[in-house]
Amino acid sequence: MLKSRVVWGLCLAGAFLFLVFSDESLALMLFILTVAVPVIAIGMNQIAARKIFAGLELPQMGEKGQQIVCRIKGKNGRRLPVAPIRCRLHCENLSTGEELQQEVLFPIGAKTKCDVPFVLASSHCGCIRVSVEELCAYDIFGLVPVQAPHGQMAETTVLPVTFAPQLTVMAHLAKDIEADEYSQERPGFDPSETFAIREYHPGDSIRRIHWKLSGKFDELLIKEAGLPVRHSFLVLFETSQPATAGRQADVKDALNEIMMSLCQAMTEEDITYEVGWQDHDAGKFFHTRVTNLDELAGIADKMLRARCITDGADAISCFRESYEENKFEHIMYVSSFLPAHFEEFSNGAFATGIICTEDDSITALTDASGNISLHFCSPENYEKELFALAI
Amino acid sequence: MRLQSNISMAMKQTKSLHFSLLPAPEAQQISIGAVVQGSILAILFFLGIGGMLYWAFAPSAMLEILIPIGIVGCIIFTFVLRKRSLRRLGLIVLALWLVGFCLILQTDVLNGLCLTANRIGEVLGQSFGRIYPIYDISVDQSGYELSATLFFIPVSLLLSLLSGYLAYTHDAAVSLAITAGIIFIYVFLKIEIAVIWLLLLVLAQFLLLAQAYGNRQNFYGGFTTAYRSVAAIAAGVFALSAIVVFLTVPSYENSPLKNTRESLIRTVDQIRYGVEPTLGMPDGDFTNLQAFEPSDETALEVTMEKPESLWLRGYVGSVYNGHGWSESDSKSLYEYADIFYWLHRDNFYGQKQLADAAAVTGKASYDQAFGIHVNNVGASSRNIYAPYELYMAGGELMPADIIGDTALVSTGFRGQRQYEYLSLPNIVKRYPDIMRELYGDDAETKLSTEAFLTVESNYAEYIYDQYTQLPEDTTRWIEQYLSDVLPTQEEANYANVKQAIIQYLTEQTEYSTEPSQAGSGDFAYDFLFLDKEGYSVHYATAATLMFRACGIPARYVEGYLITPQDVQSAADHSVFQIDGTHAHAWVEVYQSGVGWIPVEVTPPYFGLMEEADSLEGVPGTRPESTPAASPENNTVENQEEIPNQVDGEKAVAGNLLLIILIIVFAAAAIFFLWRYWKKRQMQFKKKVEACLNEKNNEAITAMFICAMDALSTLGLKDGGVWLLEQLRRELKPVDGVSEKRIAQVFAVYEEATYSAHEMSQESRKEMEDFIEEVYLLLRERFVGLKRLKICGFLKLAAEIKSAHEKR
Repeated sequence: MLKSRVVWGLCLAGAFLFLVFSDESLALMLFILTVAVPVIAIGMNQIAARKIFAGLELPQMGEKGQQIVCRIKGKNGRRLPVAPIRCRLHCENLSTGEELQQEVLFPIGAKTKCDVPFVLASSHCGCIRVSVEELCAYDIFGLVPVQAPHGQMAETTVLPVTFAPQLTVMAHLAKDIEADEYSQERPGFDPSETFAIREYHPGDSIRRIHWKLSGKFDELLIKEAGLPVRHSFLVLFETSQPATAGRQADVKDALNEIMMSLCQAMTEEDITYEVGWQDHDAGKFFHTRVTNLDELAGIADKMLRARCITDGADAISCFRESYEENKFEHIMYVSSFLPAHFEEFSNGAFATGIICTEDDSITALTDASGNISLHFCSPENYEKELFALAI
Repeated sequence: MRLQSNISMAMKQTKSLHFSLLPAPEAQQISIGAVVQGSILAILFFLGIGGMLYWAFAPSAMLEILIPIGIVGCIIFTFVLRKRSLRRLGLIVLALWLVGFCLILQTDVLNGLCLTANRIGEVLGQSFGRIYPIYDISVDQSGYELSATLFFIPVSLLLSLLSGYLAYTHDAAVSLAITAGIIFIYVFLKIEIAVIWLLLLVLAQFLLLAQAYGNRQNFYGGFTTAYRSVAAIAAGVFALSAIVVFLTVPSYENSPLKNTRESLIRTVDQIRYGVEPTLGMPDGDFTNLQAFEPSDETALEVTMEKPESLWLRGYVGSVYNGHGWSESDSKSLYEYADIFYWLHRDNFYGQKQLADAAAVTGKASYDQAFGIHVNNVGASSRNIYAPYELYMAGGELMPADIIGDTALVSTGFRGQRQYEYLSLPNIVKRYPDIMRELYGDDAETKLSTEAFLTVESNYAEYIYDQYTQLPEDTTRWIEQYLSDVLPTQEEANYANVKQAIIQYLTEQTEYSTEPSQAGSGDFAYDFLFLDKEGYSVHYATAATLMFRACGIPARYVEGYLITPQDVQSAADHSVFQIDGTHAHAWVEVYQSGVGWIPVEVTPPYFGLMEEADSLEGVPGTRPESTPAASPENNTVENQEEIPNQVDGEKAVAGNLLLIILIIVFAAAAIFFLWRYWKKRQMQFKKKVEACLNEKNNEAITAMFICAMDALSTLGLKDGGVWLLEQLRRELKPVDGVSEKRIAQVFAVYEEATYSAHEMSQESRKEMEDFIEEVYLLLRERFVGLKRLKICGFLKLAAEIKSAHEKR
């Protein structure tokens, strides 16, 4: 390390000056020692350092804003102790893209293992990946490093803090009578399904009179026909951000929490839905069906690893490339920006856009059909803004 | 420091990711292994530093007592420094003990101090050729050992404290400064090095450097077992290497880089004194001697109230080394310290002996003295150029504490370029008259001449000891080749020796300003027997050696000549431009009574300067007269003996030294206390600012750390980073801090430290309430003097409360 080298340089210079200005033979001996001892130490380190190993141990999960105790597991296979060992760790939140590098120095005894505990804490949720970027063993005077095998990594998932939005599912008129579901909110045209029984009002069609019940209750009663509806849900998670976005990490953290909260609320409402996002690392669109909480837990880890990139292809474009057109009646789009083709993509479905951004310039669409609802929020107030959602 | 490290670490991280290294459990405890290891390092430092200092400055002290005391002190201080609670107490006890010891044994301690000061003066005197004050000792010589030992007992304890400090802090900068400083003192003062102490010091230094990582903030484990084994390996490697090196490297008398050193010193001197080869002589250094090609540019501007032809003496060479001349070794000169003390006390200086002799014999008087001002324009400023007739010069040119009296002293880093003095008219040419008067029977001057000669005889003793010596090789070839030429010591006198030398040089050699150089390794030998040609430096060197071979004290001199021709028809107060052509080298020979007299031995310069008249009637100058004047022959009866023991008049009272020492220590102690107090104030101010920070997150983090710091007085280990489980475990035994409360407060601290959002005022209030709770708890637990332990925290809590009330 630089400081050690400077110190030894000064020692060597001092020993040389001592040799020049002193007539004692001790001066020559000291000069030789000042050269020889570090050289021997460096030589010993070259041998000892080849069998140094450092692994990582991280808990599987952690909480936002709380300490996560992790460990570096060092091992020395030689009969010589090594100190110091410099381990450079690279910590990255895969979701938000935040990175951190930290050097840790520690000793390892001969033929022993060592345990170096450290604390990680993250104020954003996501998958935290810790890797050993560099592992060097130094001689006892810290002059010459020897590289040891490195590259080990471990991960821990910092869970998002979810909230419980109140969801209202909008009825979507089925295009065909073969639909399996019927609206609970309003009557329709399918006489095979009864929506409700009520009193006869002047003007009602005689054909609707329920003669059997009318005879029983001695008053005219009307049978209202059911309205066939279809509910299919798609939740799209945007993993691309415009370059002009401000606090990208905060926004991504908020999006993660909104997404998880929304999915959790839908699952708890027994709504089956499809969820998808563009996996930029794999270069493909990830898409799966969620029917229960176990399945949701299974994709949460994947979602928290989804790296957010700047100015990449948006989720809608990626979805279209994979699935051509939208066949879903309900679309939820969770993003930090509103793509221009959002209305076109909705294709008559109920589209709910949840835009978490600090950019005030984004304006709502003019929606002639009345099927698009947009909710704007910021990383500070999304819980409050998204308390009630109509999907 | 912990508060700063936590906040600064947080600031170093990204906004959301935080990293903290947890302290090693071993680093938080005081293990026996750590104490043993620290003690060993401290003992090594103590033996190295103490051994080197005792060896140089306390040879009479009893090491068999001091070393065990120091070792015990190292072990105690190693333990005390590691335990925070004992630190202050330990230092107070040490200070009280030191004061008590010095007061109870003040006489012995004072004597020991004086002995040490005298020894330091002796070492400095041997190094610089000066006389330093000697302090009065109130015991006789048999009590020196005890006094020195008793003085060094407190010194040993202070050294062991310093060693313990170095072993505890592993402060490489301080230890290197101390090691380098001690070695520098030894080299600079040319003290003989004690091998074993130096090796121990170097070993301690190596070990410290091998463990210097232990103090780094991101170093895990401190001085754990693994690290101790590394230190042991470092010691083993050093020891083995030292054994191999000692067995294989041969010893020598001169450094193998001696030429490099001399070349370096020459270069530095050339730059320092502005040496211009064409304007002067080589200052006795004949290495790479060039041809004599003097320039006519001005070297000196000499203003004389009365123009006189003078030999301006500059460089004086005392010891011949085969390739030039050098000054006498200051260590051997120091043996004459007492002689020169008394000589100077009696206002006897060798540089103005001729003028004094003339004055004493009535041959000259103060009325005849005139002022000379010298402006050194181009000559070497290392030398002061003054004539043999020097009558009076300022104290800085002729300091009383200089031993040797070769030439006047040029002060200042770059030498002196302007100076003035009083001189008598040319009396070199009349010195035989003065000598006759000195040794004559003139009743008018007999009293004063006898007194003068009495003093002078002591000086002569030194002169004959020093300036008749020759190197062995030189003596050999002189005996081999010149025994037929020079008179024997028994027959030699000034006149016949001078005649023989001049005759030989005139007949056997040739004057040449561009002599060849045979390069046999002996400059004079080459000139006399191989090259047989040269200029003034050659002639003067050869003549000086030949005079000495005949038992006549002689020195090699370089300077400038103001010839009779130069001053002919010059007016008073004329300014003489002395150029490089006036530069010259000659011999000066000691004549009993009158002192040093210049002798011209370079053929082209014969007759240029006025020399002495007939030597008729001058003692020791006739061929048949008694051998050259020696101290035994010229000693006046009833010579006053130089006292062996210092008397009260010479010695300075030791009390003065003690007062100075006490003032220095007190000033140092006040300075360090002030610095410590200022540092604590700054730290407290930073803590308060952090706790009252407008940003709630930082304030909450700071307050929590301060609270934990305060709770460490109740047993919480000082960690720097806390885990909730650790807090629960360690604070459990403490009443007044419930587990639930700790968990509550910890959650707030964690949120404030690790989350991105701003904490609310309620959270801040909660932490402030916790501070108040800790404050009340500690106030209850610590009463009376014990409250000093937590006074800092109490003050902080009061500040927080007051700020909160203002809000």
